Amino acid sequence: MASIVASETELVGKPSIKFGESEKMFGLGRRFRFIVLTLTIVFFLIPVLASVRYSLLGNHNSLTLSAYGAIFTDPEFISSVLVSVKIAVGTVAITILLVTPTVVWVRLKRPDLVTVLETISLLPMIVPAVVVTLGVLTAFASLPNIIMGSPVILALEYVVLALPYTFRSIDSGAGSIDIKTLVEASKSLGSTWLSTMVRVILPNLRSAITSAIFLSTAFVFGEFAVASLMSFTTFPVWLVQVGSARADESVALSVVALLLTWGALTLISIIGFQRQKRTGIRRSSTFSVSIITKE
Amino acid sequence: MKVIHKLRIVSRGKKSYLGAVPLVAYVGVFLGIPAGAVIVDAFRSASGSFTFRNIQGAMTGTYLASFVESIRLAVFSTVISAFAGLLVAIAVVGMADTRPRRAIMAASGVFANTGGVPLAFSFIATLGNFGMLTRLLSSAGFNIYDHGFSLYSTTGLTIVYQYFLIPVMVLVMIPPLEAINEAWLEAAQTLGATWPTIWRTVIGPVVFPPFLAASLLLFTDAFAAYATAAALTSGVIPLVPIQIGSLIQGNVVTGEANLGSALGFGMILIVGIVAVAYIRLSQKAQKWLR
Amino acid sequence: MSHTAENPETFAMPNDRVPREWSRKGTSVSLRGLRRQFGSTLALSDLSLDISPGELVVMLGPSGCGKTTALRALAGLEPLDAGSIFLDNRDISKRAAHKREMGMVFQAYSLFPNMTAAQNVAYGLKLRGVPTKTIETRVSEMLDLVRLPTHSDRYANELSGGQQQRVALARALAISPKVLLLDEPLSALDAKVRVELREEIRRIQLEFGITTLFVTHDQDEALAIADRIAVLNNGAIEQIGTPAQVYSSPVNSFVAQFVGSVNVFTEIIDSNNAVVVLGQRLNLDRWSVGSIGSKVRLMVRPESISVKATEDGNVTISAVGFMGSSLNITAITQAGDVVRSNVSWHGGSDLRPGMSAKAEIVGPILFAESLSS
Repeated sequence: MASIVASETELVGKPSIKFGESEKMFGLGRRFRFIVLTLTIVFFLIPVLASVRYSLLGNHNSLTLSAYGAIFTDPEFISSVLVSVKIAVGTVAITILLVTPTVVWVRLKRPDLVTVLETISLLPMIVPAVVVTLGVLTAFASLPNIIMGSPVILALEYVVLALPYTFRSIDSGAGSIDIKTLVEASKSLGSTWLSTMVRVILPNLRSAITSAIFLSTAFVFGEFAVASLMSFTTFPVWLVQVGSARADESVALSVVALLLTWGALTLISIIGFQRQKRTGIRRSSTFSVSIITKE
Repeated sequence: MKVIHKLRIVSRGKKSYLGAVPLVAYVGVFLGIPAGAVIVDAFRSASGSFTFRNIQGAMTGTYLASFVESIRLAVFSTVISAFAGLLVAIAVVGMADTRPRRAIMAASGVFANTGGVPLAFSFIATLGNFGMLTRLLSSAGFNIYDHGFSLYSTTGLTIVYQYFLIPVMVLVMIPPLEAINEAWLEAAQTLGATWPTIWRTVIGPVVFPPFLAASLLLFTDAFAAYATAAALTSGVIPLVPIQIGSLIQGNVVTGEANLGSALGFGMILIVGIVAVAYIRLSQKAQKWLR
Repeated sequence: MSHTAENPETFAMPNDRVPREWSRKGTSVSLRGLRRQFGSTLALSDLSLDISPGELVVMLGPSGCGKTTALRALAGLEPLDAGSIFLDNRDISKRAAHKREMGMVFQAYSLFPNMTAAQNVAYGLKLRGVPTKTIETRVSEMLDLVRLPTHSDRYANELSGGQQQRVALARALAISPKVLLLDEPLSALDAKVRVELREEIRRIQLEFGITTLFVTHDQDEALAIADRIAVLNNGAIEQIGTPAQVYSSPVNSFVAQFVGSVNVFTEIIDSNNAVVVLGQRLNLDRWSVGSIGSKVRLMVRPESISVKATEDGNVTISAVGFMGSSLNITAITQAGDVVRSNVSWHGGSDLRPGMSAKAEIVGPILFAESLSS
């Protein structure tokens, strides 16, 4: 299922500016660093290279883009992507409408409840996706077909399953601005609640909400367990179906999927960095929000 | 004026839980009810009466073996990735220039998300029967598949899982390593400590609680993983998530209607215990860090 | 501080003399030609300094002047490109930090977070294989010394900033080091705690008679506790002397402006080797600052200027700051120059902003330099 949300330790700067910062931190030399980092880079690059090579050469050792051509013209590809897009739209909409007001409210009215809500948002990590699926199938079996028989149920569940990351993202965004002061300033200038929310709070949370959108979208486009076990042909489910029949096409697709995910996540980190620059706050959580494993 | 205004805001929201209700209710319905159903079903017979038979079934034969195999996989994956991730984090934190560190943190954020199906296929292209590395080694005279290796085994999964577990470890360990103040290490030196002593008396004790906490996190991650294993082994290796999946899809005929729920209850129990240990340790880890 | 009583001969003369006989129990420290380069920046440029046994020398300078680098080099935490370090005439330049027997107190947050205050103090003793009983006694002695006898079981994050620095001091002294090194130990503390603790550091230093090098950028701190102050700039010592010498007889304009505050006047030398400042004629015979008609820059301390309310004065008062024992007066001349004065206060004052007043130089010229070259 999911992986982690790192502790919110702030990256505290060194107390003093020193010349020639010691290159031998922890008493380990440069050679240690060189060996470790080289091995790491090799380990992480080889599968990428192998995938790209495989998708282009296939088993027949002749350079061709036919695998890429084949997948994009497959009608199943289009329909599975469409299903995933619809689910993503639903997941994103519910997530934003559910999490943003809650986070703003708790920071404003009950800051003492922030930890409680954070804990609740982490609960989905305790229940593996497979177990959630089992529970959904038994507990919600009697729900109308329009929910259980359609990807609607996936969107509803994905909101919960992605909550550890989306909540953390919006919450840390809200934590880095002083909502209370903003609201007081806005109200003292005569704004109504609604206009305060729309004109003052939301613009300040824009980058946090954008990350949350990317995170839930990436989650939807990666989630396999729940979708396949509930027999919905989402993009990742179709990927496996193709994989069992046509190997080089599925690898080509995986390359596309990996590149798309990495692109989206890199965008999140860039947004995160820009937010840091703007607010001057360096939080490790900017990185931790982007940790999902799509299991 | 301003002070009065502020007081009013605080006092009005004093006892209210209203704003938290929608989110909490949502989690209750879409997580609490399914999880609750699994736990209840685990103790219910087909006719609806209370029974321990499901649990007994989950603790015998193939199902017990799959728990053992799942835990074995999770433990191996965790131990390797925890140490590898720690080494990478140490190497990165030591850099005087912060740019490579940021780049590696960003990359880790990205790779930590590379689970699931695409990852499985990438590794098939790398270490599968006809993978690039397999063929490269084979042409060098060493066929790994002749020497007992298979990507579609626990060993193979352990390697594949490193791909998303190591980055998680790097991300989690960088903040505590970063919090190690250079002044502690220098103070220890001026007081007469050599580097091995400093590792044993200062760095080790400070880093160990977050390290252990992070390892527990990796364990739950590897223990609960389904997609990669399903895509890679198509159910060949008996792992608990795979078994539950087979039961859901009706691929396996058993006499026990709620056996899957019993297995699911077992998973919740194991992950839950580990999660509690994690929370305890994180609190301890935070105690020393400002 | 009376400036008129100063012997004119001591002006503008570097004074390396050690002002009194030092107790013999401490260790002498010699830094010889220390050189350290970071990229294109020269952090230490042939810095030499001798510290007598039991003496407290403060290295004072702006950030980046090399003072911390020098201290860290002495501790063995910073390698040197050139130069040697001697303890009691023995060369220790090549010795590793953990063998140097120096007690060091860092800026802040240097206590081991996984140990209590007592365990921190015991750390160096344990490494030396001191018997447990002896360690216990020594630790409680040390915590008594820094006035924290009841805090032995507290962790660093349960101690205030000032308390942490006290424990750090106890930890550094517990190993009976040959030299005590303090790297801006008070810079992270509140003003009040800072003053308290610097007095305590001085008391303990005198009690131990331990040779001490103290690095700071805070001139009040330096003036308050030093036996001698070494003013550093660009990796070299500009001047070394007692606080009084450095304050009242700076050898160059950098020292004059960095230690204490000054009024700077730029004037042209007239025919009688004098200048006119605030309508007063000041003779420049004791300064060799160029010929008739050339520009000269003069520096005068605020306490060397008096300001008195009068009908047709030469300045207009723009601000009066009440400092308790004195008044800080800012005034503007007819030419628009700002004059700052510090006059002692004995109750009552008729000076108000906007008033006309007479500003008069009543003390010596602190420093004068030619601007023509």
